[in-house]
Amino acid sequence: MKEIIRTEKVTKIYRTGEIEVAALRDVSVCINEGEFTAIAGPSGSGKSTFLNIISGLDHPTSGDAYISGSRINDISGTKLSDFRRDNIGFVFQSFNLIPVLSVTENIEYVMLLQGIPRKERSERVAAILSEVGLEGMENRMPFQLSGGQQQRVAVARAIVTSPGIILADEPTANLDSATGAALLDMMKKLNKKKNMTFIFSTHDRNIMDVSRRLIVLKDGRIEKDEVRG
Amino acid sequence: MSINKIAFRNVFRQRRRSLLTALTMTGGFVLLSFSFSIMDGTYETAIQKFTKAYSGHVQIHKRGYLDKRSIYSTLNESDNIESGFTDIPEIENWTKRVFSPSLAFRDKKTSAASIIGIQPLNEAKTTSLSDTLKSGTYLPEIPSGNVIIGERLAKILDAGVGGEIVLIAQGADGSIANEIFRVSGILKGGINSPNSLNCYMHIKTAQDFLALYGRYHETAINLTHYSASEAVAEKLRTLVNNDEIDVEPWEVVQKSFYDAMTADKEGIWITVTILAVIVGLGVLNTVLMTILERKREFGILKALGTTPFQIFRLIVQEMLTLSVLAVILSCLLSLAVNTVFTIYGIDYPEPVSIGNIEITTMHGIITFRSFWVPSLLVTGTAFFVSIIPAAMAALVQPVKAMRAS
Ligand SMILES: Nc1ncnc2c1ncn2[C@@H]1O[C@H](COP(=O)(O)OP(=O)(O)O)[C@@H](O)[C@H]1O
Ligand SMILES: [Mg+2]
Repeated sequence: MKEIIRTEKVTKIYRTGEIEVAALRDVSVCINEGEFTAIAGPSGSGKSTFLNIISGLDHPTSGDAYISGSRINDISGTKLSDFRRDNIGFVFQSFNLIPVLSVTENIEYVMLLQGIPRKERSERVAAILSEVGLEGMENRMPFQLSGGQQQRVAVARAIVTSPGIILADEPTANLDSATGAALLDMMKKLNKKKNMTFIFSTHDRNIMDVSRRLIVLKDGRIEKDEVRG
Repeated sequence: MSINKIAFRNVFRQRRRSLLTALTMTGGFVLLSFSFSIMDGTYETAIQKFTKAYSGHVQIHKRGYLDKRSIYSTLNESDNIESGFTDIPEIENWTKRVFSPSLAFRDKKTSAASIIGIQPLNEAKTTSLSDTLKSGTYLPEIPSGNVIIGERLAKILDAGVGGEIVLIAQGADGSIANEIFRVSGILKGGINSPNSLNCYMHIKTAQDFLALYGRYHETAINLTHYSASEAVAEKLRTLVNNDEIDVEPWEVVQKSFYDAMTADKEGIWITVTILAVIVGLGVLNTVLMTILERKREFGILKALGTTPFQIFRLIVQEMLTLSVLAVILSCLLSLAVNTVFTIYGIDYPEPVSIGNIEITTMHGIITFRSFWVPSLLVTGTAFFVSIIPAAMAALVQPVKAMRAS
C-alpha cells in the first residue's frame, strides 16, 4: 500500500501573549492511500490543528509533514495553494458553501479555479449529484438546503475534482446523529468506490465507529491508533 | 460563473447596506453634477452677456493695436477684409469701430470721454448697445452730429437728452479736432459700468472728426456660440492672410475677464474634494463591514484554492459594480434635475455680478463634464477606498479566519 500522508514528530505550539498552548506534541502517523481514517478526541485535543498541518494550511512548530512524499514546508506560497486546490478536497464543520452560488455553482467552484472547461464541469456536476443524493436540487441556493444537504454539497465539491485526499473537519458536528451517520455512510461508500483517501475528525462516539482506522488524540498526543476489521 | 458573477451577486446580498451605499454615491453624484451644471450655466450666461454687451466673440485689429491703442494703428476699408465672412457659417454679424480719447466740455464742466465710432445698424445686430439706452434714442444709420453717452459722463457734464457737448481730440493728421455734438441718448448701467465714460457716434462722423478717412480700428464679430471663437479666429487668420493684422478670440481680447472667469471656476474642485470624502467614507464603511462579516468566507475561499488576487479582485469588483449601478441611476437622475434647471432656472434674490456682468437668474446647462466628472469621482473613490480593505481580506490566513467565528 502506498503512503500518502506522513507526519514525523509534529509539534505545534500556539503562543498567545505569555501563554503557550501545545496543540500537537510529537505526532507521528502514516496514512495510506485509500484509507478511511477518523481523528477522534475531545474538543481542544488538536484535531483541527492536525488536519490543518497535513493540508499545509498551517505549519508545524517542529517536525515534518509529507503529502505524497513531498515535504509540505518545502512547497512555497502560491504553489502550495495550487497544490492544495488540486490534491486536497476540504469539508468544514459549517458554512462551507458560498452563499451566493447555487448547488451546481458551488460544486463547480474549484473546477472553475482549475480552469476546467464548462462542458466538462457540467458533466462532472451531473454525475456527482446522484452520488451524493442531491438530484433535483441543482438550482437551490445554500439557504434553501438543510444542514445535512449543505454538507453533502460540500462533500460533492470536495470529491468532484478527484483529489487524492479528502479532509473533513468535524463534518457532522452540526448535524443530528441520524443525518451525520448518513453523511458518513455516503462518504464511506465514495471512499470504497473511488479509492479516495478520507480523513475526518469527530468527537462523536457513534461516528468514529464507522471508520476502519481510528486515531484518538488527547491533549495533542496520540492516545490510540488502531485499525479495525 | 466567474468572479464577476460572484461579485455581482454579493452586491445584492446585503440589500439594505448596498442601497444605502448606492444612495450615498448617487447623492454625491447628483450634487456634483448639479454644481457643475449651475456653475457652467452661470458662466455660460456671463460670457454670453459679456461678449454680447460689447466685445463680440472675435476681433480684428491692426497688429499691436490692443497693446498701445494708438490712433494710427488702423485697418483700411479698401482692404475689404470682411468680404469672405459670409463663407464662415459660425459668423452671424460683425461691425466696425473707430476709437479715440477726447475731452468733453459743457459750460464750465469737463471730463475725459472715450469716442467710439460705430456702424449703428451693424452694432445693434452684433452687440446689445441699442438695448442699453436709459433715455433718448439710438443713433440713426445716416451720419449725424448725434452722440450717445455713458451715465457718468452725462452726470459730470450735467448733460441730458437734447443737450449739447463739445468734444476735443487730436486728429490723425495732427490737427486739433473740436466740434459740437448733440446728446441723443444716455446709456444705462450706472456710473461704475465700464461704458460710463463712453461717447458713441456714427463711424463716418468719427472718421471725419478724427481725420481717419476710410480707416478704422476694430472689427467685432459675433458667432453662433462663443466656444467657436478660437476655431473661427484661426479660419479668419487664414482668410485675412496678412501679418500686419491680428485676429483674436474674446479670450485674448478680454483677457482679464476670461482669467477671472477661469479662476472662479477652480472653486468647484473644493466641492469635488468634499464630495469625494463623503462618498469615500460611505464606501469605506461598507467595505469594512463586508470584510469583517465575511472573514470566514474568505478563509474558506482561500482554503479551496482561490488566490489572494482573486479575493482582492472580488471585493474591489463588488464595490465597482455597486458604483457603476449607482452611476447609471445617478446619470438619469442628474439629467432630469439639470434639465429642469436648464429650462426653468431660478431667480437670484439679488442679482450677482460676475466680471461686471449682472446675472439675475441661475440657469443650469447640460454639459458632458457634469456627467463624466461625477462618474469618475464615484467609481474612482469606490476603487481607491476598497484597495486596502480588499488587500487585507486577500491576505487573510484561512486557519485564523475560520477559527475566528
Ligand atoms: N490560532 C490559535 N491560537 C491559539 N491557540 C490555538 C490556535 N489554534 C488552536 N489553538 C489551541 O490549540 C488547541 C487545539 O485546538 P484544535 O486543534 O482546534 O482542537 P480541536 O479541533 O480538537 O477542537 C486548543 O487548546 C486551542 O485552543
Ligand atoms: Mg476543531
